Amino acid sequence: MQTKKPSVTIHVVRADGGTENVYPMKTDVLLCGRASELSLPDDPFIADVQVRFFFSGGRLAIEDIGGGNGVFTRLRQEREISPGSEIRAGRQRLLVEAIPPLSSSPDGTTAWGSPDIGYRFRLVQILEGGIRGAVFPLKIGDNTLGRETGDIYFLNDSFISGRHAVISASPEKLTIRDVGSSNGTFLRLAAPTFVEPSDQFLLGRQLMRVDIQN
Amino acid sequence: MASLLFNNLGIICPVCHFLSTAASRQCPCCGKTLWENPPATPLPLAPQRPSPSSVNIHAPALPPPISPAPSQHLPPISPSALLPPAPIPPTHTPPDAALYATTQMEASSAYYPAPTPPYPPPQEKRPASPSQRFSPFSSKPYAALLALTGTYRGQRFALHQSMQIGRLRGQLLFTDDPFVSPLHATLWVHNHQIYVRDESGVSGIYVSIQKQETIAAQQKFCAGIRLFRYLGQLPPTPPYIPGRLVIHGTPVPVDQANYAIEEILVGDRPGRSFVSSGPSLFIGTTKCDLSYSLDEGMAPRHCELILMPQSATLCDFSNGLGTYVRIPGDRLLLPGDRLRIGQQILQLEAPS
Repeated sequence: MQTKKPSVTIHVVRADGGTENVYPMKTDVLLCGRASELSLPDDPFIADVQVRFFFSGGRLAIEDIGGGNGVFTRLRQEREISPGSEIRAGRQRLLVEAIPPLSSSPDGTTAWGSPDIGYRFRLVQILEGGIRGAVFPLKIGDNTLGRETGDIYFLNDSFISGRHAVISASPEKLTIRDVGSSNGTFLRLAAPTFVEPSDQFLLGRQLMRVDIQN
Repeated sequence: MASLLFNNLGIICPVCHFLSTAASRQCPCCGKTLWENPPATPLPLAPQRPSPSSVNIHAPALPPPISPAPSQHLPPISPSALLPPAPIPPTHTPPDAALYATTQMEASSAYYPAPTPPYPPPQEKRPASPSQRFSPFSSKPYAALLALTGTYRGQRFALHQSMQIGRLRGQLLFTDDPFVSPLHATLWVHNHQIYVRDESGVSGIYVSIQKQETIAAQQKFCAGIRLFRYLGQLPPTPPYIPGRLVIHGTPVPVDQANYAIEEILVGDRPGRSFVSSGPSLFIGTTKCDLSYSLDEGMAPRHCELILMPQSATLCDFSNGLGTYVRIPGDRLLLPGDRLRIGQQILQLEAPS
């Protein structure tokens, strides 16, 4: 017996404002990109075919097939992140990197430098064009991300809330959670993922909201 | 009274003028007997620091190198040449105190409280005129190194023709400093000038700047206990080409130049980076672009970096705490210069 598929509507709006466009999903597979069925031709940050929506066992799923700048999903709950994870908040794109452990040279000498209070990870700000910008080491414990205060802040980014997100670091793992930001915190999709009603995704400058009606 | 003086005061050697430690019967520098008939009953001393058994000071065994880059290493230390335990409590004699012309009573002025930052400002750097050059025919040392931090804080080490500094090899050893290489630095006198050379490259040697100095992109410098690298100007945003995917990221205003400075963590690992559109950035404890509010040894506005694409001008406002640049190889030193070698800070002092 074939599972009845829900009715899916995708709402697209520029992340920094503008009119909303609505696209009903008429087939079992919907491709999004600059040159796809759901066309977003004016966004230079989106690949020709960037995203695939499809059904798996009657549930809607999403997959990043374009690579490049990727697809980001809005955080609903605390999520574990690791080196290589990418975060978008406001107009910032942040890459998680590991800080290598302390080591000595073959003659037993350790290179002198600034004190290390136990940093294991750091966030790298990616500037437009892929240039590495500011870097923020993450201390063990909570690292608050915000616009004007906190451990990591972006004074000139009006799309970031005063207190936006918290990254908790331990020697073994990292987690991130949104703490009530207006515009949300987004984590790059690393694998095909089921879509829940009202899930939001970022592609380039476009914000997608998915309505699912059973 | 003689016993009290003998056990508590350093003694100036009449031959080489080296300030030995209290209760020394023999000059650790030249071997001259300082005290023919020491008091039979030493008096109890104040609490002493651990014995600096790793330090070894003696006259250079080699003639002064002809080239400004000596390749010879001084012979290894013999246990008999080790300096006796220093009973002097942590002291910090003002750098302008007469080093070589003190009397025994004057030497008691070395009993100052333990030094705390800020250090006294370094002596004004002046080009060495012939009249200021150190005489090669004098039996006096050319200069001395005053330890401002670490185990030997407050102690002076004579520099004759050359001196090597390391953790395992050389005449001045810092065996408990893991940031000092087995053989770290060489100081030598050539044409009446004092030079220093980085022998290891792992931790490097940092020399204090006077007021301001130009540094190249990628050059390291330090302020307080923080190490930085100036990265220079960041590449501009690639031009937009219609139809081509643009890598997404934080927007950068068109035609805005951005400069970056990176903090280097212990172990030569990258830490924090800061991006500025210029024209300068400040490092300090209070309301600076890079603020370290809890750092000791850093001034409220410690230094300023005036940003240029391939270089920067580093200006010191630390009021004597010191801003240092890493030397690429050899460097001429002048009286008042300070060296950071691992965790050690040594100040070069000219003889009076």
